[in-house]
Amino acid sequence: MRVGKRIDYVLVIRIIFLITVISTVLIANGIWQARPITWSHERQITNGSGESRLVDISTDPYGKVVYLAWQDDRDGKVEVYYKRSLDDGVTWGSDVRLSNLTPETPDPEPRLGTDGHIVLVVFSNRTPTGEHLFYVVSNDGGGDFSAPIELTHDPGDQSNTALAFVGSTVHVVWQERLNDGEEHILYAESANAGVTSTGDGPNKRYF
Amino acid sequence: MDLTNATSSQDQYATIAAAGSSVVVAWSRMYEGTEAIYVRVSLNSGETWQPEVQVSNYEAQSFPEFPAIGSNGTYVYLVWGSVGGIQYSRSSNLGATWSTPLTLTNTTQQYVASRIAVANSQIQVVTAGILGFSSDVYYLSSSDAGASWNPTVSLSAHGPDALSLAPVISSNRDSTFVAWEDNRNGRLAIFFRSRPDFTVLRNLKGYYLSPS
Repeated sequence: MRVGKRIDYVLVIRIIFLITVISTVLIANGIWQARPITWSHERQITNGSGESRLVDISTDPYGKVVYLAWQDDRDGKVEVYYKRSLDDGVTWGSDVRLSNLTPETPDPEPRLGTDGHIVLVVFSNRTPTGEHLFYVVSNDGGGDFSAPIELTHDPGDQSNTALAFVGSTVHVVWQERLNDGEEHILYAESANAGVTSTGDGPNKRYF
Repeated sequence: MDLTNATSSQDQYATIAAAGSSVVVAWSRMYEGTEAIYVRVSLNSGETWQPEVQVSNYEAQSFPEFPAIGSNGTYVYLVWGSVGGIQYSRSSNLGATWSTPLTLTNTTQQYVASRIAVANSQIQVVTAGILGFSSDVYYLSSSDAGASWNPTVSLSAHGPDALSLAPVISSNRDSTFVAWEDNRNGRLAIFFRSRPDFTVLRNLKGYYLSPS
């Protein structure tokens, strides 16, 4: 019995020593920080010569990438800009212009979403037949984007988009002002966030 | 697909949440000078849609607008701005029925343009509160699926007559991120704050490697 107790004490001492060594290594290397849950300081992360407005944000659900898209008039007319952080918002890449909007576009109001690989940005653009929705898409986690692609071709004005990802499938809604002044909510879906069009189906619109 | 076909009404400010094969859309409807919040749900990835459900009543001078929606399993969480403050309602059956709206804020500010982030039972909301010529960004959160709410936190700190508006929020497995537009330095720019969602358990499981 006495021998058994002595072995238990040795085991406990070894476990405590092991935990102490591991914790010291983790803390010393900045891997483990026992810090309280607090907000970081406010930081201004755009510094263009124009007004930066109507930002949207999305994150890689499994990584540390943070994406922003906003509208900006630094070029003399409103355009859609974008930037990303690869380290949970600690540092940021440069501002990237994603659009070439008509000067008549009042508020493109970009909306952004991602599944961690595909990054989709939807915005409105004033065309000769009304304000229509366009999108740009990235297949490489926000490194490069496609040229703008028109999402809506209906007559009338489309604006105020919202989108949600489930895997690589994206669901999009927007409001559409009809010629009689009524405004409706419309819906479309893409199985791969618009990378390739699948054509419309009997019950819903795809893009 | 046209989700709303009511006549003589204006359906605006749509928001959407999706998880698995369920898709939930909310919007505000203006009818004869008053507004209310409506929801529609699809249980098969948008193939077919349930009838629309009215979540808030039409009330004069209330003007419910800018809904934000989030979902987790069969629970759906909805917030919207109104003259009376940020309103909250929850559905436990994928949008079929909704709780009586609850006012989350108790100040005289007008709250607009909320956004919501939902993960498990954690609900996080950001909104802008306007008072006179100044506005601030506020953060509201619940850790128990909306049963109780933590004290409101102001995320923007600036002097009078500055505008902090249109906040947005997103979260991953590590952290929560908030951005908004702000003119405290002379012209509107994008501001940003983040918050690590730190727990020792997640560290030990290897899910969280905090930057130094």
